Amino acid sequence: MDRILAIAGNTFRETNRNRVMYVLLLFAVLLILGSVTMGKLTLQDEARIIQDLGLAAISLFGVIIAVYLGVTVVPREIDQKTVYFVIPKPIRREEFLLGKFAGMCLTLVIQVAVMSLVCVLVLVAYEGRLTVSLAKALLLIQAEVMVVLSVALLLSSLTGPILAGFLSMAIFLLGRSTDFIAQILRQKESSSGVDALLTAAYYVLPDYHLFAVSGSVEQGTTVHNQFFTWGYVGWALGYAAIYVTIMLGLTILRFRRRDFV
Amino acid sequence: MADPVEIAKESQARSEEAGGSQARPEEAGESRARSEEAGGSQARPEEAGGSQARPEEAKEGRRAQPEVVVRLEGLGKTFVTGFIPLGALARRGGEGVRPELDPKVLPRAVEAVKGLDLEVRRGEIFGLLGPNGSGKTTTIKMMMGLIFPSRGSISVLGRPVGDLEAKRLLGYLPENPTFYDYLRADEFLDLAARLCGVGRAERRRRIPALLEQVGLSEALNRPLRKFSKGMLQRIGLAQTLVHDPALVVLDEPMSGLDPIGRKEVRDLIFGLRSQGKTVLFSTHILSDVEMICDRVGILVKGELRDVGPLDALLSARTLETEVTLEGDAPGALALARERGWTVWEKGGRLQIRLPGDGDPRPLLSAALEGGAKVVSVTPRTERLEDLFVRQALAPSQGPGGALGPPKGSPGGEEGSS
Repeated sequence: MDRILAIAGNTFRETNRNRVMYVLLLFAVLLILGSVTMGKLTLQDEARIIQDLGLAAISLFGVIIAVYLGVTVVPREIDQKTVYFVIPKPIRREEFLLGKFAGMCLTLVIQVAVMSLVCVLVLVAYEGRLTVSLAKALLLIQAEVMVVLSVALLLSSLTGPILAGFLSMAIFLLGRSTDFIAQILRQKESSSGVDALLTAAYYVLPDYHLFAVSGSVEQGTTVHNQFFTWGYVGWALGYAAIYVTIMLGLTILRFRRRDFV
Repeated sequence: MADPVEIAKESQARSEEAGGSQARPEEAGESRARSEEAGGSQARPEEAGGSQARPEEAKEGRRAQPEVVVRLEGLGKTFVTGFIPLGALARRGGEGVRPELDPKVLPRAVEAVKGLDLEVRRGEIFGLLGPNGSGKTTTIKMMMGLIFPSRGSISVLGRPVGDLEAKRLLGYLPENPTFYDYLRADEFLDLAARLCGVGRAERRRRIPALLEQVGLSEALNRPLRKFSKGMLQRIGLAQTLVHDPALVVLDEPMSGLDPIGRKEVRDLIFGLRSQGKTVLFSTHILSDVEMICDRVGILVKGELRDVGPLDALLSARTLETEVTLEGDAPGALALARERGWTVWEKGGRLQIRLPGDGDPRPLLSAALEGGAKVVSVTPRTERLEDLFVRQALAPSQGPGGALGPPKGSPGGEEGSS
């Protein structure tokens, strides 16, 4: 266990000393602050706009950071040959990978937490009150970025970082549209090849739509009223945990047999 | 570890088996003869004299019974390139070793290491020698669990590759190492030690001492990003030693170092042996090997061409005799021309090279009769460089290949008459 923690700690240190992370964080914070201006421009409930835009910004930048970490951190170990240093140490390959994942998760949690804090502070300054549903929404974003990270990690073990990055983003967009896919499937009742493909996609793709909370935090404004129960949040977190476990398992299978030439 | 006697028996049986399966009778015969010699017998069958002093033998005798620290049996690696991972398709699950991949069936397969049998014994300095691309690094990486062998088996410290107990006693310096460049020197060593299970108090005690030992105390707070190549090599050596390993494996430890750095690494390797550690290192720098190795293995194109104590590998047979004369010696010159010996004129001196065991007496008497002065008569025996060139140039031939001695290599032991 100490070995995994050592790797996790080192990975955390690595990402913290990476300037790209701070640039991304800065953009996210600027976007959240910018939502205040957007709020002022609307005729509707200003606080709602700020909240929606803030959550969207956190989610978007959380996903970008997750993909960036997922497709660069482990491949960098292999490219820069630091894996030659680690693997011969008394550590199993899967422990190394779990340590890397844990370190990236910690970074991600902190990044999302910082963005969340900025968002919360803006809302408090603007409206002076916070809703429980905001906390739930932020929790769901945390879960979502973990899933994105695990998918990016698996893809980066199969292909180069750039392609893996694009694929991760594409899967993110498709995964966000699972309800749309379900709708298409419901409308057409034929069982053509396209349907089979869509069905497969529906079940295999990560259901990021589960975590999509922007616009649904305000009661009654969208179809996602179910978001407001803790039960739903629990279900989404459980789903995330299972999906992450499967992705990590596949990545480990690939990583365990790999030649580091 | 297994009983040394058992190991000895086993290895004998295996070397016979290996001799049979390699289908080169003359090679098998010779390698067996050589291994007998390494075991302590005095005479080399193909040598006439056979009674020369061999310091290696004395050393071997003093040491405790040989225990095998690293054992490679029939180790082979075939890299499969190309988009379709045929190697992955042919892989057998769960075994840890891939089945034989036939390079004839897979057109894009490269056989990097071909059926290596090798043993490294406890407490020795073993040099793995070979030209670039001969499979040294691939072999070492297989031992380190970085690359999976296509066939054959490896045991390190009596355990299979990847065993955590064995890894705990193992220190490895990769070739041209790069480490986490965002870490400071002390942070990096702390990580290395922690991964090896060294406790916090011990780490705090050992790391400054180690940095001192490799001469990096002043660079303690500098990130590795700012390290020079020599400094990286030093910090790399420090991380191989931070957990006090029993076996130290160094891949090209001297590459990129200046002469002082090299000497320091040599001293360090000697120091490790005197602490009872086993050292295996690879190099293509021959002078390193000549100076420090107890035994060497010569790897060429993925095959182990020769293995044993250096003295035993080097043929004691005289390659050529160099006679240097001063003054007029028309008789000697004529004799040399007649016999077709190489003649050099250099600063009023005449250098005549007699190939092989040629008898210099007629030449000397002709010279003396002509009134010339004999400056030196130097018989030159084979050196590592000659052996290396002989092995590297020989096509897949047995040890002691049939190629003649390399021509025109300079210098030799000085002897005068």
